[in-house]
Amino acid sequence: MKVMIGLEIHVQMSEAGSKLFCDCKANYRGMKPNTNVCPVCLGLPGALPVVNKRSIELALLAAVAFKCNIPRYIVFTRKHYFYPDLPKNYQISMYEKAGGIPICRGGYVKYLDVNSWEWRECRIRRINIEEDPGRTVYEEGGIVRSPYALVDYNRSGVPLLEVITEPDINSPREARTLVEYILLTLEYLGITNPRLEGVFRVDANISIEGGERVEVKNIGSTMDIEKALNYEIMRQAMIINSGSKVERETRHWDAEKGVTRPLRHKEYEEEYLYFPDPDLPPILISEDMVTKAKEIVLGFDITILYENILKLGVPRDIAWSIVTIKPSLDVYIKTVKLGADPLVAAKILGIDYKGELKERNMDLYEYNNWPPPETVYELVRLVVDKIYTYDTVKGLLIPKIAENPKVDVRSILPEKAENIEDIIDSVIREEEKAVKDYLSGKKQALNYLIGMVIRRVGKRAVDPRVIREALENKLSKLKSSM
Amino acid sequence: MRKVKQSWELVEDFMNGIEDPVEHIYRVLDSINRWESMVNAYISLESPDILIEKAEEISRRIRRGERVGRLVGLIVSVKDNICTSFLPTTAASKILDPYIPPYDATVVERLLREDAIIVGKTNLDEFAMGSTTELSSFGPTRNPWDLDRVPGGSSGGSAASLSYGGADLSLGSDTGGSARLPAAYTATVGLKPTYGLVSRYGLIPYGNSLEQISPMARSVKDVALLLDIIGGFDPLDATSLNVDSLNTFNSIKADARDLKICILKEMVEGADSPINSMFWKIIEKLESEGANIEYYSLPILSKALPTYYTIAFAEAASNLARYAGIFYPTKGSSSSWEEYIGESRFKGFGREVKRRIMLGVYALSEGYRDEYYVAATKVRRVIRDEIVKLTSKCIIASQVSPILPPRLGERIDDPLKLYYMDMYTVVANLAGVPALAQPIGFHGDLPIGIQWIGGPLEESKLISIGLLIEDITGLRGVIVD
Amino acid sequence: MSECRHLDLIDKLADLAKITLSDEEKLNLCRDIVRIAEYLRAVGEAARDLNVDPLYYVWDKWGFLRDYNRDRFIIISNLPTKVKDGYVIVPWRGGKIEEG
Repeated sequence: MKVMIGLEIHVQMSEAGSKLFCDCKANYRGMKPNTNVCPVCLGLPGALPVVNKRSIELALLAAVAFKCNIPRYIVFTRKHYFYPDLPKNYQISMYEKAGGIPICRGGYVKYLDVNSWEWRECRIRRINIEEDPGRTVYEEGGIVRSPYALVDYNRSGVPLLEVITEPDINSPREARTLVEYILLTLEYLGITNPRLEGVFRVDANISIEGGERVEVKNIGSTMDIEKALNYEIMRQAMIINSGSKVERETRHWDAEKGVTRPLRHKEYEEEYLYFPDPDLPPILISEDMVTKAKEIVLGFDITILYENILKLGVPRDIAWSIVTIKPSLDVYIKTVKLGADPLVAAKILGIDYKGELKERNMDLYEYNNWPPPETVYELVRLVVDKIYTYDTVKGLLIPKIAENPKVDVRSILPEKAENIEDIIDSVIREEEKAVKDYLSGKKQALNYLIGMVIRRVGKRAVDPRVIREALENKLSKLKSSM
Repeated sequence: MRKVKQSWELVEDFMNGIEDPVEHIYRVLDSINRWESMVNAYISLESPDILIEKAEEISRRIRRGERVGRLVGLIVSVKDNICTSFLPTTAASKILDPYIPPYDATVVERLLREDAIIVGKTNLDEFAMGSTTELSSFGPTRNPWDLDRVPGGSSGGSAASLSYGGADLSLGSDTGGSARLPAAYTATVGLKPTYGLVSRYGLIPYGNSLEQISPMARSVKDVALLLDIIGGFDPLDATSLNVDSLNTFNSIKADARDLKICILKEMVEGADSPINSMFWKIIEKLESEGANIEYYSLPILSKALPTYYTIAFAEAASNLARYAGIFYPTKGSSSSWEEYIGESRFKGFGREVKRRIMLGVYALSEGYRDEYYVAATKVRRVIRDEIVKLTSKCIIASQVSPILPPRLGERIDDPLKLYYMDMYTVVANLAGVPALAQPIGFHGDLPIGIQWIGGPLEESKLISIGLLIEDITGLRGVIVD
Repeated sequence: MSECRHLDLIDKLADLAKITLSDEEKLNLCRDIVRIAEYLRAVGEAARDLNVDPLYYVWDKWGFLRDYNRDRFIIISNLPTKVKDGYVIVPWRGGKIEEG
């Protein structure tokens, strides 16, 4: 059974600063409803759109990153449909016909399928720049039955990239992996923050060989892409198995119930009355702009970054683990530049420090939660120079650094064994009874001696395993000298 | 008929203490009291108390020798499709009644910066869709020169307010002749600027790619004064040209011997005979004074009117989609979304507006778009190229309207007859070039105008020739007595 | 008044334009629109012989891009709209609307 999936990925350019056509904020999160609005993004009569420069620069980065044909100029079109969250009842978008010219046509993404560690390719049909509508909250009954809709226009006019792929995807898993890869690329380019609530939405076109294609709208997370597509394949397969044919239709993904539902039939669904927005003359994409974009994209190409790590001898899963968390990659690159052993550094950052942050429920993507490269360099040196074992670094130092990433490593170093020899010697001297007990075979006396050493060490952190080792050494020497 | 001082002279006299802004506002309020109930030029008026207070403040500032703006003390009326945050803005549509915008149009900001006093908002055809100012949900405006006749449209309220002395200057808008036609019908002056010279920010759109806010006044020099203030780049309008405001106010009267005038067969044919004879009289006069007159034919212009209307309808259908009862006062009563908006729009829009919206939808819809909307944009390119080419050599002279001001009700029953009134004016909008309409005479009580069309940003040339014509006709600062 | 032969078209246009029409208005509009559309057809015929690109922006120039200008936030409850807890209320599937 051959499955063909094509995606329309709508990603907010949350890092664009302002909305696409006005000065309201591109990231509206945390604002009270309808407080991030102005005459332009409410479409009030007479207000006019003017294109935000940053949005175009960012969109161009995406077009370059996905190897698109970039036009000499772009033209915004009006797409008309009546909806409560669309204040003008048309959306300023792009279209490849009716005079519109999108920022990208005919590109592709080469993405890493981390399930099989194979590279796959998916063609990009086009990328549009468009304005996000407002956000609608339905009362009980949802979109299908809610008596009225509550609309917050804070989101209205936020710049969106609409990435439309060809139906090159063959499984729900691949679809999810592709979207994750695209989001990661856009994050590296400083276009979006994929972890913001509602920052992206996916519509999927899916068809099973022999059937019509069905569009599933409103998928809001990468996990749901896989779920929604799995559900839809199962649903379509059942129809086919029962001898019926899958009809062309549009369905809505209900994330709560985990099902797709048919949307109400619209008579002239495809009639959007496209035409170039007369308020927006064409925008020249100069060679200078493209050259600048290419430089930036080259510096943030995750494929290159990943392969560079592989070249250092780092296993692919650790390398990928580092790449997926941008702050960790930044620290990693700088640490290696300082001369640290790439493998040990990779293990610290890609596995154990990351694991520690996760355990502490700390934000992996927050730069302040990661140590400076000098700190990581120092940790690597401790291991490589055999001053501590990797386990000591992992068990004693990493948690302390996670607690306070700016801490000076020297201030938290566990006492090395030779520094506490004196304490051990004095404990052996003074705790005659326990020593005698131990030497006579009462093994639990060792724990008592360790405890005494720790007490004398005071607040300084020491590895009990180091103390145990040293104590055992000394006691066995004592025994043999008896 | 009588003549009054021009506005720029009034400003000089205010500054010299010869005239007092307070006395002046009382004079204007008197005219409004006398005429307004008959003419209906205004949809809303500022309260007299506020106006008098403003005039008093300005008077004080002048006496104290404080810095004042270039429109100090002048009374300006503003077409009601231009947003003001201090007066309702309805575009003469029920769907926006009552609506007070939360912001001022750029042109309004510029007027206020120059110490103009905005007296009120003038009547128009609903959303500027019409040529007579009869299609207003606030009732028709009548022509002060003959109260049985229309003042032209859609800026008929602005023109009427000037011709009875209810304002010194006025802002109209011109999508296909909406400032020039009323000027011609009321013996006033209207200038449609080069597309992009004047910011549209705050102009309630009808045909965005065609229209410009247009200065209107009782003399050519006053129009120049107003144009210089409202013109120039505005970062809030992406179609705004990156030019400083022009200096047209200091244009000097043209010498007939330097004039090259082109007359296009398609833009003079078909006019009624009184209009025709008056037009040719002026042309002959100019020729006798040494102007060079050349005659051309541009057959593509026979398609100008349907081309214009196709584009305007398409843009209108899109622009007016937003009026769906959410942010605007006229609302449906149904509690189902689809019925609610259908009902809001049914209740709020007048018949001509509905007609144009539906035709615009038709022109843009799949299967018709190429034959209508796209075809019109192609014809538009040819017309623009021809007109820009021609105006690089000469100024085009033509009539403004093919007919004298019609009686109320005479033209509005048949939409095609209504559209026909714009046949000479739409060319300048399609080509984006500036065009000036000014009076050249009367047929009985009825004013007749002439139109001058120049090349892009050649407003100064139009002002120069306008000054010359005023000297010839003596029609400058004319108001109805 | 004679029956109009293009009522289907009028229904479709009214639906796309989201304007509810009374029967009488529909007939009037049908008559007018068919006539006007016929008149506007001259443009399509004229364009057929023209080998030119469409002209959407009259000056064929590039638009400019905007840098930050100034905040123009407005207060939504100043507009003639229904607001509840800061949200704009819009009728949706029928039922009573409580105003806040």
